[in-house]
Amino acid sequence: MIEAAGFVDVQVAWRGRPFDGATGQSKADKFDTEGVNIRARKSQAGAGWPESLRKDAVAVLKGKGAYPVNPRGAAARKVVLLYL
Amino acid sequence: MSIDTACLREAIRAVYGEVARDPKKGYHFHTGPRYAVDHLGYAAMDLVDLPGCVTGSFAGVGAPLSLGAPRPGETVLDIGAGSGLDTFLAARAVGATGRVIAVDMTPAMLALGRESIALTGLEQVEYREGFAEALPMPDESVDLVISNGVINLSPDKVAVFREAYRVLKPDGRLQIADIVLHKEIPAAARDDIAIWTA
Repeated sequence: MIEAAGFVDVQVAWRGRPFDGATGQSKADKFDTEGVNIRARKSQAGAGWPESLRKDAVAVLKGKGAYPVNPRGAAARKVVLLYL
Repeated sequence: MSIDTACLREAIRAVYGEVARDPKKGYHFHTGPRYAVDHLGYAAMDLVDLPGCVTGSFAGVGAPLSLGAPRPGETVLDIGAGSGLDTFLAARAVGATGRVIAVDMTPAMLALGRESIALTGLEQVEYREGFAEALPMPDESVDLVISNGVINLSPDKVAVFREAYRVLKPDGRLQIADIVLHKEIPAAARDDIAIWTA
């Protein structure tokens, strides 16, 4: 969906479970709900990520229930396809 | 899918209007700064100087600015900014020469955000009423689009991403936090507004 809009370099940088401990947790669990941080870039011919952001792995947070995914974003396509 | 967009928006306004007015009431999702730090990895030190009206009604699901901080002088757009936790963090980063446009469709959140501009003195922030699917921004006017826990509430996510793409300058960045589901919601349930807001 993000790529279809024209974005490139889609990366999922963090996945966590923001509903854990909330009253909505059971419903979130029913659909295996996750929080994700995703970044992407509007294409510009020949340009990549700016040097300051050009890393294979962006910061992975340490929140409760958080766990890293492939920093190259290999999981992004699957995750986005399952977006409600 | 035949969800009634107007009804869905009204339901969302009702929920998040309540969050703006009474953030500690207790919702099916977490709110507030402690949650942001403990669950999502925000740095407590970054939040300490923000007023309670900014942090108390925070109801995001991730940390979009952890993917890269805005640079001084940049223009940032926060889609569905709510009470503005990410908005005001971005405003600090862009400084007085930058701009942060916070778009939201909930009147109570717009009021809260405008109040917070006065409280923080971060006048580079501007709250605008609008929808994620029709952003009140000109083409190619933004360096960084952020959003936190909002796009999942839109019945037309393709339109949201197209709009984000439209308003970004060439080589502009999109940094979002949102929820995804790994199990399909039954087709009939997709038309149930309660599923969208719960």
